[in-house]
Amino acid sequence: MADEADSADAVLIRRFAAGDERSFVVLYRRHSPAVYGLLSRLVGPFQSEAGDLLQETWIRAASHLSAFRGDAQFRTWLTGIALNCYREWRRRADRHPHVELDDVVTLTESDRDPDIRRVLDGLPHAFREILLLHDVEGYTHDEIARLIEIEPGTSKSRLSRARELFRRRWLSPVGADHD
Amino acid sequence: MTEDDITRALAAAREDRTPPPELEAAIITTLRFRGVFGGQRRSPILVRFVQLAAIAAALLTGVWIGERLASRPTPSGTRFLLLLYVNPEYRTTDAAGDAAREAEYSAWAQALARDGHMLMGQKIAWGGVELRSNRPPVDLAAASTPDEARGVFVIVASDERTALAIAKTCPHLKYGGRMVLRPMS
Repeated sequence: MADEADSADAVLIRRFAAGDERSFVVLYRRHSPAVYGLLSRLVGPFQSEAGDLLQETWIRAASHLSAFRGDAQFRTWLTGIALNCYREWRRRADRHPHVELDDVVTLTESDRDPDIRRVLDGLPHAFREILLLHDVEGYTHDEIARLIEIEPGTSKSRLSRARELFRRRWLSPVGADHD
Repeated sequence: MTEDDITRALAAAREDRTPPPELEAAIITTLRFRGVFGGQRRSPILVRFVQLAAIAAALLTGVWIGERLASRPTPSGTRFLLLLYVNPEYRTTDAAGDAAREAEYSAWAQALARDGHMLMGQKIAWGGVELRSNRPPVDLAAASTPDEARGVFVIVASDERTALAIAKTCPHLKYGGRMVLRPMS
């Protein structure tokens, strides 16, 4: 495992594709915290969903590894799969609103800035998504365009509107009427 | 509060999170069940790489044909769409073999063009999107498909029997590639 831990993604992916379990474990431990962090912020209060989505992400990644061409970072590719999983979950949730109390968590000590978390969770899905991808995760508009299948111009305009709504809500007191 | 303030605050909110420990074991179990580990399946990356290298070289012929045929008189007759697929049975080769196949595909297409039996040829790029009613678009670059169309030709022939005979002369068949011939209305 020590050797694998220092290996480049490309080497590990090749070994993983050939059936090497240890290479998968290194890839999983290397990239999961970032992807899980993004999924946790995307699902908002439904934190238990983040684990399920991460599991689905890796299973799909394993199935589609042959489609990874190496012209993007592996984490970006993995994030794209995670976003697809998240969006499918969100569509199902929108069609069948179903909230279990166990799923809903309140702000925890792990949140660095509970105000940011509160405002993000309250934003429309598309705005939360674009803010997380661009301003939190640091993806460019071109990368976001590829990740969520929109035009770069759409990404820019959506980000602008998302920031404006975020600003208004961040400055408004908790419980105040939203737009 | 300015936009810069918002950007800084959000950037500071980025945080990796360690997934629940039991999740790793659950995923490994699932992947084992699916036969992902232990060399139970061939390396799809290597297979795909070699397939694409071979077919890309061969189908460059199609691009070349498309450029050259534009200035030719339009052949008359019924048009047939010929699609070339890279499928698991397609036999790959090495770099020298790629060059030989490229020449072979080129000679085949040029002969058809000279005889007035080919209207156009074009390589189909990797990736794309699959659209279906009431379903989200599928990114084909991330999808698992048994084979994929990588070349398209329009053959002109007096009837379907002739078109079929022409299609059978395509070198793609003898390398195990799959082809589909469809009449165009």
